[in-house]
Amino acid sequence: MFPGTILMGAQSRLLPPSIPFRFFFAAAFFHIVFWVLVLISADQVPGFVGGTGPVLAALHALTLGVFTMTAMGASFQLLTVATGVALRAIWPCHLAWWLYFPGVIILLAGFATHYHYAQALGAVAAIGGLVVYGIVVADVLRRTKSLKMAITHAWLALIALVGLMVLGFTLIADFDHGFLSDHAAIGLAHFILAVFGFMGLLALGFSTILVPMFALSPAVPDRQGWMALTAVVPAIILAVLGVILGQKPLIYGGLALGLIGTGFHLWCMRFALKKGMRKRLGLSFVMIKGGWVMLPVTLVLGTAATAGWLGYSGITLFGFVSVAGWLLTFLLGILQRIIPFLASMNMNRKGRKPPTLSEMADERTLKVAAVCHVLAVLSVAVGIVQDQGNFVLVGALCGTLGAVAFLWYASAVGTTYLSYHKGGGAETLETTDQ
Amino acid sequence: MTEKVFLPEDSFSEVWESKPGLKNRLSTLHPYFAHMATYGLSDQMKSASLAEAAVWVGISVEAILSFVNCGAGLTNNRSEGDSSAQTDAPLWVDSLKTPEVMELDVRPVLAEGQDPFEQIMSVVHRLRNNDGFRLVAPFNPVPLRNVLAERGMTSYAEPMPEGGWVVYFHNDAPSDGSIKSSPYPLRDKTTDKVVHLDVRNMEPPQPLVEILTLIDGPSPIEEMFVRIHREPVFLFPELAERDWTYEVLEHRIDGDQEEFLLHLTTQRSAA
Repeated sequence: MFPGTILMGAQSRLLPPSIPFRFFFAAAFFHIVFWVLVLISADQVPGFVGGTGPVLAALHALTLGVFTMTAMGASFQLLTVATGVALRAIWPCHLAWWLYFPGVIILLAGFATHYHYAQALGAVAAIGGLVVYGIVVADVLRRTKSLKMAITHAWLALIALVGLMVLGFTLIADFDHGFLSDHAAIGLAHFILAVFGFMGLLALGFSTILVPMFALSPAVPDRQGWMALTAVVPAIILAVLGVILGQKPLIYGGLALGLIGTGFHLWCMRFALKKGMRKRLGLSFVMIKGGWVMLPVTLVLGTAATAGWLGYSGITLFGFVSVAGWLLTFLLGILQRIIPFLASMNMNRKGRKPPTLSEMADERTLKVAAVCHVLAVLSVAVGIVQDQGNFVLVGALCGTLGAVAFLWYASAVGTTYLSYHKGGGAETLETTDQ
Repeated sequence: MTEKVFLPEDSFSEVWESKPGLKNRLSTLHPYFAHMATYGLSDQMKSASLAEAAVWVGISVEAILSFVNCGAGLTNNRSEGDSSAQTDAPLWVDSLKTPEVMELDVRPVLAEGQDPFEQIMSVVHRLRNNDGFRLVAPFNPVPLRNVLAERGMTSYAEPMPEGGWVVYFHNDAPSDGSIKSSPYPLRDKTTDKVVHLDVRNMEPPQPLVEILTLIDGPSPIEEMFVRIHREPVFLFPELAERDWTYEVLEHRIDGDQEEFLLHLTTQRSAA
């Protein structure tokens, strides 16, 4: 009998908490880095369409630093728990971290300073980390016999990851050697694969597990879930091909299919919330719902930008709203839910009563983070449309403040976790590592 | 027109959908039915017979039949909301109350800090098909009952007025000597506050939803035994939120397959 004990070790699906948390804390750290980089390059943000510099570094601080870091932490921990398939070993998670984290820092520094060797070195290390991550996740997916919908999303996301890594490294090589005939088109294809392919599919797939779990609802309906995926995958392929080949009809087709897929996905999410036992979902779901609203808005903006209705700033606005309006809003909602949740999962030790989720940290800091985030996104979007660096500057200040508040919250959860274990003498963040 | 009389082998889902008002009436019989009346039939119940449905929630087959056949003009000695329907002892229990039946009182052994398992198993090994014995214990020995259920022993537990429990074990194992799990779950006299739930082979988040729906439901459940095929780590923060605690009574691993038996209890009544 193991009163109030959860399993730890090789047979457990619950990893040593230091593994997921290092990725989540790194994501919170790069969130600050993103807004600081926007802050120092506020004048360059409106009209940005590519090229090295602090804006490209900011974009990658968000995509590689926040999104992918979150995806790695969530995949390592939540995928194993949800599928019931344990990792074969924990050292690849450490290896992925030690390749990826410094790799991203070096890459960002290389982008910000236009230093090509740093870009190449950072890219090689970061890609190395992503390859290890991809192998670990693929191994879990291969051994999973349930959750077919989420697993299919994850497989497709991994395929997109391979594509975006190839294109990303090609783009970095092109900065130095200039062999691509249309660098901007490949850059945009890389962006679509990263944001909608890799991150988008992971977000959609994880949502089919996490949203019903948080709302305490039955699983999302299979039919609509599969229809969403059936529309989204060709949407991404068409958009990428359209951008590379310069064929607007393909891009429009991709955007239309994307909107259809989004409709089915949002229907599934609405079903989960409607059927869920938990009706008061808190601030995290305000953010998540905000992200859902921004997803179709992003696609509409993409259509307008492709048609040229938004002028010179169209593509910049589309890019910014995609990453900051949709994905960042959604991920901040998910992160503020899973950080205390994961901490609580690891606090059921020694028969001691763990704190409730609301006792983990002062949630007022999350309100500050949310308000600042909304103001930041709106202000920067206005700055892009109006071509006004001052709006971007104000938005970046709000964003930085919000990002600091978010990290403060995450740190408070970490402190609660450590104090709990300090008293009980149970395993701490590192001692359960293999 | 004569209404159809339902038999134990009839489909539970057909009965559930075919009789107006039955959902509400069954909801008074067991909280799990109340849960399904709100959230729809669980996957298990969709493919279960009436007998299996009764077994699933830990009530007697006779009780569920008397409820579903009530409108068919069959005799129903109980009022619909009578919770004693849940506490019906299986017929074989009476035959195990006679002095001739072996009684094993493990309270002195436990009081000395000894493990009575070997003693109990020596009795079990001597039993033939349809034999039984009584076990007297200071608590309801659910883990033991689960172990013996795997060997074909059905059990029924009753609290004793002076404290402690008497558990009647009946050997349902085939007479050819082969070992087969008992098709019946454990039954307790106090099943109105104790729920046995099997959520094996449900995909996430369904096990979580099934468990929390019962905990959050209107019926005053105080204790739950859950069979689940994966470590339910998502459940633990939710239990903490609700002032419930858990313990792992069993954990089996067979290759990639796992199975847990969890004992969940509320702290509210204790407080």
